[in-house]
Amino acid sequence: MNIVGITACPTGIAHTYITKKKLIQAAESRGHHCRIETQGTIGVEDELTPQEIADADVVILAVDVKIHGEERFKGKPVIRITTETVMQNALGLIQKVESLIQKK
Amino acid sequence: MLDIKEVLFDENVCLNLNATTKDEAISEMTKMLYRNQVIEDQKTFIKEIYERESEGITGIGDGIAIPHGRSKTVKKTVIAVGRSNEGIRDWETFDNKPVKCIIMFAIRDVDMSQHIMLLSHVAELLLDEDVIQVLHTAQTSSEIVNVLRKDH
Repeated sequence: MNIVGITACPTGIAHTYITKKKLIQAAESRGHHCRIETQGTIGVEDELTPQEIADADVVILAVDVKIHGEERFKGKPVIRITTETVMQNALGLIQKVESLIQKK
Repeated sequence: MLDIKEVLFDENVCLNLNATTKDEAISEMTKMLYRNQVIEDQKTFIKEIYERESEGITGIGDGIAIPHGRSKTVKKTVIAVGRSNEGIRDWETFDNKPVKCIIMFAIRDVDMSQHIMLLSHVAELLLDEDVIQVLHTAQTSSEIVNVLRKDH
């Protein structure tokens, strides 16, 4: 699958980036391609391009706070969770996403 | 990116905390920051730390916790490291393992993005098995500084 997503946590300093890394590690270990945009204290980094979003099979929003630019994902399957879900079990999450998307 | 040495100093690394509880660990490390003139007021800083604690778990697993506070009382953004060889069992973690190494971020209220980028980079390093290993076994503070400095 092509996965894109956004991570954002309350302070925007630590969990945003740890969650990003965990998501990418888990997705890649299952053979997926994964691109994550971070929205932290210092703003948006690794911003997703319109092409990446268009090519995505699924959007994962691992966010604890309000994010910018959610309208970019209109029409896409969006899975919204908290950073805690990813911290707890990133691999389990990716497997769940696989079954959800493949059922469609 | 800035060098880790801009924010991580030997004097803010304590390899043998006396603390056996989360409250004691936070207060012991806050005291260290106060003594080293990183913060002006311990009470205010502790309050900020607990505010972030109330928003979610900072025990990220593998014995590592990353409490962090952004506060007016912080004079200079730093990373403090505290290690408890016994382990702290009442710290909420994602894998229920006791916390043995605490990486505390004290963040100045108004700070340059470069410092924040550095902290974020350090946070990412804490998922690296080799880094975790060194954090738990280092005998000197410079080993810790070096492993967090390494560009993985």
